[in-house]
Amino acid sequence: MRKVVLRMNISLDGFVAPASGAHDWVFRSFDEELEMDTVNQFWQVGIHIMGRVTYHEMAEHWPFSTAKLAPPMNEIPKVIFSKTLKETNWNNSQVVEGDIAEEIYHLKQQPGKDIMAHGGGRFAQSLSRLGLIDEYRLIVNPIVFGNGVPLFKDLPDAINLKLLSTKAYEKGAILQIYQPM
Amino acid sequence: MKGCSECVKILFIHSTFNGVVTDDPCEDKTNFSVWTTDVSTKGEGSEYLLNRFDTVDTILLGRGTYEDLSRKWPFVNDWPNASDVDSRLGDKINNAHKLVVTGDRPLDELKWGEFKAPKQLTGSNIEEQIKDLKNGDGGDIVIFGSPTLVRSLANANLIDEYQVLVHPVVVNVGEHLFDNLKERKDFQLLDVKTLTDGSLLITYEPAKSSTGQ
Repeated sequence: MRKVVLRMNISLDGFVAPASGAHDWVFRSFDEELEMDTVNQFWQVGIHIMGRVTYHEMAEHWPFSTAKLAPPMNEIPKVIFSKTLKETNWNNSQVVEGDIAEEIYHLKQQPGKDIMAHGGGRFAQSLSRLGLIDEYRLIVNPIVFGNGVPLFKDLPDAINLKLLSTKAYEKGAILQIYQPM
Repeated sequence: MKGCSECVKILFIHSTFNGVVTDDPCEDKTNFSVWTTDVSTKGEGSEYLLNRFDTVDTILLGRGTYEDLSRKWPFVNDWPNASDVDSRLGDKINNAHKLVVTGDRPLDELKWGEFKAPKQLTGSNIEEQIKDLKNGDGGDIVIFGSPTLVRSLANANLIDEYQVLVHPVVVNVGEHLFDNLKERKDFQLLDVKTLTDGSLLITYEPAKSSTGQ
């Protein structure tokens, strides 16, 4: 069955965003090699999924971007999880408003390449809480916030992980790939 | 003359992947073996720590970590499963100078088994005392754990190197190392080592721009 891979940038202390909601920190450690690896990862998946907030950020950005990351995000099918969003005008995207676990179960049943989840924070927290992630592919940035939106919140239990691989980049980001056990 | 640049202060701490640095609050807070199932990895982490004692001669501890560690390390040779590296690391830890920050709640008596007793840093000007310590003669200073102390020293930009052993687990209880930081901190990555059980030993230093130096 196809996997659900959560791919997010986080701070060293486990936040997906500082309390201010700022994004600039992600670019501080984004270098050419990390960009290339990310583009390759984005092309390798069959569906990109995300919550409403991340959808708005991406749909306002990628269709107008000339970055190498833009084509895979614009061309590959996307599923947006939201109970309030009615329609999308981003190419090749659709909204689902049902139960997250059920919808993801249906997506996993369909044949195809892996599913990549992008956040935002609350969507990612729900996925972990419901045990829906098959692989965590996290870019740990060399920064600490002290507070903000945590990647993990209100977990019913501890999650034991198996480290699959790591890669350190020039500007100090570390890609850490884990599989829940 | 020795100055700050030679008396580096290092933090060594165990963490879960989500940044939790203490065990369940009602239990022994420095019992990290609950995060590790593989005995060989404990040895591996200890070997790296042991190497740091080539330059470290002083251990700085907060009150809680002092209470936990002083119950264990002086008696390392009586541990039921003490390995060779435990005993070599124990020797370094037990014989290093030790300072315990007790601030405005001094302890009546400090003990480290039959070894030389730790000294206390008391009063409200702890940051000043630690600056003096860094400017004095001697080797590097390592802080073990002690998240409360680390938070105040991190806020005062007094930590020169952060070495974090990240265990491959996410937990839902415990304290976070960087809770209540005054402002965000940018780091520079110095090193990543992968241990056999999937723990990562990651070393950072504060980025030049965020230390105000």
